[in-house]
Amino acid sequence: MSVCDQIEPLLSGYLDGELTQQDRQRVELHIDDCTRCRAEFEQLRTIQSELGSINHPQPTEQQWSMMMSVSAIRTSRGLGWIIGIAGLAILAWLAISKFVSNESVGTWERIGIGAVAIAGVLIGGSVLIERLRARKTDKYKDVEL
Amino acid sequence: MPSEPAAGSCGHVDRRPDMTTLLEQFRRKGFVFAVYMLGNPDDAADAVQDGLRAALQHQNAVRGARDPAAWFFRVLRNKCIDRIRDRSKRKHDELFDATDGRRRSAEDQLASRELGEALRRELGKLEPVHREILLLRDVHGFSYARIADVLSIAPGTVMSRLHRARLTLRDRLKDQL
Ligand SMILES: [Zn+2]
Repeated sequence: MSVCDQIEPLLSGYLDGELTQQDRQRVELHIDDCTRCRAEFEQLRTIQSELGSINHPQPTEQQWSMMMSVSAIRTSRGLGWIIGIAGLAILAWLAISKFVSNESVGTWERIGIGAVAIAGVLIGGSVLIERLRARKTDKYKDVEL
Repeated sequence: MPSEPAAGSCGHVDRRPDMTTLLEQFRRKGFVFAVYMLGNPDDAADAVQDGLRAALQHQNAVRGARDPAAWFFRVLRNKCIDRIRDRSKRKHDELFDATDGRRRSAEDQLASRELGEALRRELGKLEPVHREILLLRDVHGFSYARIADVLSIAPGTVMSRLHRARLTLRDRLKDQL
């Protein structure tokens, strides 16, 4: 194995300042003498400095804000749903109980309207559950590690 | 980029880094990494969003981590790899024009004389294993130890893999160097 073959694989480590002191000195001594290894080192150094200074692609304003829309939007949307549903449930409960205890309406009417209200709650509830399930499996599904 | 200090155990002050600051930092750096990994800014923003969501869900792990940025890059890298695995090649070409060199027009070749331009293009064409390690080292300035941490590889592997990545890039940029 020639000296070059031993030194060449260390050139990246040398460039990055990641060699032991001993290896660093070996590389230094060698590239002082060897034009071929020195040339390779210079090329690697050029690539590194260029990579550090080129203009990297930047996100558009929309992409920029989209990336961060993980917390605020989701939390407030979730909260919105909960408050909205709670409000509707209270209103529905009030309306039904008022109606059912209203003596001026006939018994059969009360039973009929009550049944319709219960059906509405059942159907609405099942739609809601389905939606929630769909949300869980969509592509923005929460990630597990 | 210096690593964040460890979580303080003395006193009542929470010395751990603030989550908002971390997320801001992750978003900025994460986008550059992801856009090179995926070659497409929309996919990149999407992957970063996934990564930020994971960070938010694991706030304690992130803020308590010895190196929160390494934590985030590990997650983001997985998000990118998932996407690389299951998406079409077409999208990749939009940003990097990653068609084979012989088919590039004369105009394109002239434009790529510029080293930075060529570098960006060739970086986009490297194998993902070479691309990611170059990004972590030369764009994000990670030490070998942190790279080993992010990529879950032995520290000893970092130097040789990085060296191969640089040599590949060097060979493809021979005319410009
Ligand atoms: Zn030599």
